[in-house]
Amino acid sequence: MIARFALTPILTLGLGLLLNACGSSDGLTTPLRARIITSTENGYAFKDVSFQTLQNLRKMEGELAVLRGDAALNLNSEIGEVVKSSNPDALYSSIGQSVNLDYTVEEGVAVPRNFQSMAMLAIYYDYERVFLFWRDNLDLDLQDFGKLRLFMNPRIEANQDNATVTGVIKVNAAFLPGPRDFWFFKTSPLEEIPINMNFGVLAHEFGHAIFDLAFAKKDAGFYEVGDESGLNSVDLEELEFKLSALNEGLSDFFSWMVTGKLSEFSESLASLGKERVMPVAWTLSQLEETNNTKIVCNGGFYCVGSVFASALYEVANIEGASAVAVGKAVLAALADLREDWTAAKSGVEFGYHNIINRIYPHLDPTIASKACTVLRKWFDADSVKEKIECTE
Amino acid sequence: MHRIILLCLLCLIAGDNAFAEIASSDPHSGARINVEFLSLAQPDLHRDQRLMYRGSWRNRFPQMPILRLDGSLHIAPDEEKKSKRVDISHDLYAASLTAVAEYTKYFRFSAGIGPVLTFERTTIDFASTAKSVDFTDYGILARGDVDYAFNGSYEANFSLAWQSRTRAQKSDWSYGFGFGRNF
Repeated sequence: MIARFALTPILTLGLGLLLNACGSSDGLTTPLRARIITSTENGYAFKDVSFQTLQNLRKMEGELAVLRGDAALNLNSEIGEVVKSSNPDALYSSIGQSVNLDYTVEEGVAVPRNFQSMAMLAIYYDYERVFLFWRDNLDLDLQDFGKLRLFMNPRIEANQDNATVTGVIKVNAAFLPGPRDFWFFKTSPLEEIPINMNFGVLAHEFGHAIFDLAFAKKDAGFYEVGDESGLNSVDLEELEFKLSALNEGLSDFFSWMVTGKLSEFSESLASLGKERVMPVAWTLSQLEETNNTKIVCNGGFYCVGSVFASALYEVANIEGASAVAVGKAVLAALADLREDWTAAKSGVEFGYHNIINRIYPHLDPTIASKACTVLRKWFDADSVKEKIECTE
Repeated sequence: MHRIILLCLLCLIAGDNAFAEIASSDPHSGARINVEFLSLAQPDLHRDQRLMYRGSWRNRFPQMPILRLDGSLHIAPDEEKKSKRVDISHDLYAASLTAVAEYTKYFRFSAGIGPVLTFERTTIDFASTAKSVDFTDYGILARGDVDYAFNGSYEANFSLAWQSRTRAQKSDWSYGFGFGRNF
């Protein structure tokens, strides 16, 4: 028996094509505006925001960045090696595609129609806010920094024995040196304000990108220490720990500098509020006395990072100083620190004092004495304190 | 896939198919209730898997024995909790009218296509305030069914459907199973 179809589907197809042809524009004008939940002076709230650089709302692409979806991270290799790789082919098993935002227009404002659309709008808006802060206050140049990719909910994939294992990471965001991509992972019901809508988290990850630009000059290989250092594996691990602590601490400070708020992290996860809100309850000596064994703080190198962030926070609060002025000093110091790190790769000692001694000369001389006291207070471990070159 | 296999096994266990009886009685209408798994396209190009419930009625044309018309209502609520303080649920409702051609041998195989109207309601729940955004869309729905008849009145079915939503520029698919009653 041969199946026959009625005329209805043909008419439907024709009607669909006709309605498509008659489709009008969505009523949005530039600058594009959207209704999102975002960080305001009074905490997180609904707000109609304007985008200065967003050009394509549907695909979430603008002058500064582009969002991408459906990417898969390649976990076939050792994760550490993958993350350090500057080769996108090694990092991604799929580079993903343009996103397709769902929104409704109400009085010229795009209102997201689902959770992911809200999150994407918040990500671009926060990214733009952070970038413009750096551009306006610290002379960040788009040509130098680059137009970067923001990956939404990338999945992880591993291929073994002709089978593909796929996984989902939640409760995190990351910046990857090398390809210089941002990753925003899937939201967990454990989060208060979703991490991908958190202004402070985005400013922190952006801080890593600044660190990468100023310190590594976008070269992922610069972070690595090879055999020529003559260091054994324990010493190499310690060196990596110190650089990670520095990177995290400076990014926390940069986050506060941009947002002006101490509570941003804890808006998403209360546990972050305990160990990452400046000033923290411990100093370097307390961490070193307990050998970073989670007695004082649970977060490994993040705990030392919080000492860095707290020290800089206190310096920025000295009368006559400001967060931006300290930020500028840190930025200049990171460029100078390249020399110390290069020497460390040849076996020269590298410690927390290196960055402090690089920051100090760039601080305003009128606060130098007080800043010295603050820095020595936080970095009170004998291994560092004696090597800090400053005058109280 | 294991659900499909289970359904087929149930059909085999249930005994002989009763479509010969149905063909002779030539019922003019029937009703179905289905539970389906909807794979809904998301803005990040991943797919949100959620349960969808479909109620439908069907009417056969006496003059054209291989053709029938199916009308369906679909409800796909979003029950996933997003985060503690920001909860945005996106519920999808759809209505479709499908012209269906069918062929019976052991089972009733049917395939159809027709227009679909969708209604989306987004509820943004934040800071003790709930705001809703509504959106209507239209498109095309194509579906295929395999029916098994226990007797002249009751049937079970496996269903596969694909729909394209025009304004949202998204396409979704679903599969599921259900039970029906012929009148």
